[in-house]
Amino acid sequence: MGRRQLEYVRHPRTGWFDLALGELWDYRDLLGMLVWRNLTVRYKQSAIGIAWAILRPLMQMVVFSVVFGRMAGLPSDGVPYPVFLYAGLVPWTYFSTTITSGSGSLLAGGNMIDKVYFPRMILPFSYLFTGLIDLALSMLVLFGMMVWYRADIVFGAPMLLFPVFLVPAVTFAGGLSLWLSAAAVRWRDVHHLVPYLLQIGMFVTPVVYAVKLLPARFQWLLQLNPMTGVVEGFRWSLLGKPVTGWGMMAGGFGMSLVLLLGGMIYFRRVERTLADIL
Amino acid sequence: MNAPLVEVEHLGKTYRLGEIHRDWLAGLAGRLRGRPRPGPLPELRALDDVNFTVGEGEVFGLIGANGAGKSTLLKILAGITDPSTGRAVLRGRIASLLEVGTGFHPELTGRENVFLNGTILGLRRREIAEEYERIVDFAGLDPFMETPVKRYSSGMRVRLAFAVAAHLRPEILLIDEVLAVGDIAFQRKCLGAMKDVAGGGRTVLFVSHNMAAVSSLCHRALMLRQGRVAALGTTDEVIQTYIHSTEGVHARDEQGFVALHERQPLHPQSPMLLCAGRLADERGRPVSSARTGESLRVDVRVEGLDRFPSAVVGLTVRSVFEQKIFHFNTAMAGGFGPVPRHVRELVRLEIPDLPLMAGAYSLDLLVFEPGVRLIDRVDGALNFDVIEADLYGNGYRGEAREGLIVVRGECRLEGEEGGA
Repeated sequence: MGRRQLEYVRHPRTGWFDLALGELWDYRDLLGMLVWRNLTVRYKQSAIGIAWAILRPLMQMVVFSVVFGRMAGLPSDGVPYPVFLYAGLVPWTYFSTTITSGSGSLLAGGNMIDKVYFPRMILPFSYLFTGLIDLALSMLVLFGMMVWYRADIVFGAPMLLFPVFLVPAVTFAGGLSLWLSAAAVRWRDVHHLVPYLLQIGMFVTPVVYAVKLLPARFQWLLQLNPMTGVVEGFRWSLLGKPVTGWGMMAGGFGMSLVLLLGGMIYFRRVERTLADIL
Repeated sequence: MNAPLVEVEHLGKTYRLGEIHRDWLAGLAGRLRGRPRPGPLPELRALDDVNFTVGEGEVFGLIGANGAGKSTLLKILAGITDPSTGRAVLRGRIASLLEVGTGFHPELTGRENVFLNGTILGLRRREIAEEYERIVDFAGLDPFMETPVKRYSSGMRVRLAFAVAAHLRPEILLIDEVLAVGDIAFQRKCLGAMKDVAGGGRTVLFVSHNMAAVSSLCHRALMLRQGRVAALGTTDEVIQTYIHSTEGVHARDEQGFVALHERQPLHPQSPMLLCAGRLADERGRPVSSARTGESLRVDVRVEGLDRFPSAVVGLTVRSVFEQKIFHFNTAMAGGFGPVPRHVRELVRLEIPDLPLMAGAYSLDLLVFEPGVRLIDRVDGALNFDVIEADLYGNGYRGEAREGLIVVRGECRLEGEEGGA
């Protein structure tokens, strides 16, 4: 008798605000499996496996330290440049890898989408969590570096707050992934565009430099970017560096929330005809 | 009276044909040079006003030629795509099996793929863990579960995938053509598993080209033709309609003849006498299938038979494995007698009591002069399905595993001499 509660109605959908969040929860096991698949598949048949998750940002850090720290001589706010850089590189790498895989997730999952029903949002969302696992590993390296460089860093309560700044990062990356993945189904151009946008994105985010490098009257431009708040938040909690604009950071988070909500609405609309146009 | 588990009302689906956003930039450049804006894309009605219901525990077959809309219907029911009009209500937990091994990742091991595939099909991880032993058992792949699936043969992949699917426990199961894969032994096992599912009170919607499977599994069936319901009723009735519909079969003319002249001659100099062939029922209506124990009529259009007064026309029936099952020719039937042979002839070959088990068969057509030479031959000229029938009048329906042909026999008890 209880079964009678389960009823699926297939009809042409027209509404705007049917986000079907309950259904996402029902499919949490699939989300878990996909997160795990994303991770495992990447490191199959590789000699050092998951160590790549640590090695990749580490190598990037070395290259950028030499180019921007040594050769360009960018200031690093009184912290050894590699530590300063890496504290920004960790959230940025999370953002950029999530966007890269997330925006292509519907195209990559085309054969599944065509053959079985599941809430499609799970595909781009799975990369948000995969990225968090990579990030956790990179954080170990960051803590190691902080000890190694004997940086003048206060290990204290704010340090436990760095996960708080992941919330706006996940929100922003999630919102963008939804927009981009859904748009990429219609316009494959998105797929070609994303790598360039991310390259530009890295330089309008204070990853290799500090916001203070800019004249005060231009700093707000940088702060419009929600990732600026995330990077500054990381440096504040981990390295004790002051944040240039708390208000702007909150504003950026608000913008990300709007982007995420809008992304969900747009995604749900595209989802209706997804199997037909993939 | 319970509400039906599946209720479909006025369901329709329209596809726009052609590419979406076919190079917008090039289009713009063309328009600047004064080319007209391309008109709206043409539309295709894949489904049009489809209505039916399926009750609890019913096994329901969906048949029809390629492109009739079967798969679109199943995709709408599965929730993969939205209908354009109408609605469908499904009451109960659904599992759809539109493909075997959806989401299988070649780099993952067999065990990992069981869990991945299972969750994609809507199982909880805990449920898969509980069924895991049985799944491995069913697939018979115990030694290979820690091997990446990319090292599996395609047969092994299918076995593993079907094993997962066979252990889904939905109330409504939507299946598309999964039996069309794997070797014969495994197909039998799948059919058995499907029968278990069907017998277990589950509601099954089953799309297939395999009439034998539909006939042995389904209680009722629906036949689609160009997106519309062509027949709806008991499986036997619907299959009867399907047999008599010849649309969708390649290159048939309005009388159901398959043209045979577009081919290479047997030898550079040999004439091509065989022009066309068809299957017909006893009343001469073209068919695409035959029934066990009923008559099979083959009509062959032959051109130039007058030049070969002693030529014999024959056919050879083969199984799907190309094995010859029987041969029949005009000489066996006593020849044509003293009637004159025209340039164009219709040769009618009739086998009154078709002894074939249900399944798919093909037949070769040939013209030869006995003991002299082969004049013309077309291998696999016609393909046809044989559908099982209640041959013995007692409900016993043969199965393909018993053999390829059907015989009738008698039996009685004689009593042993000296026995009590």
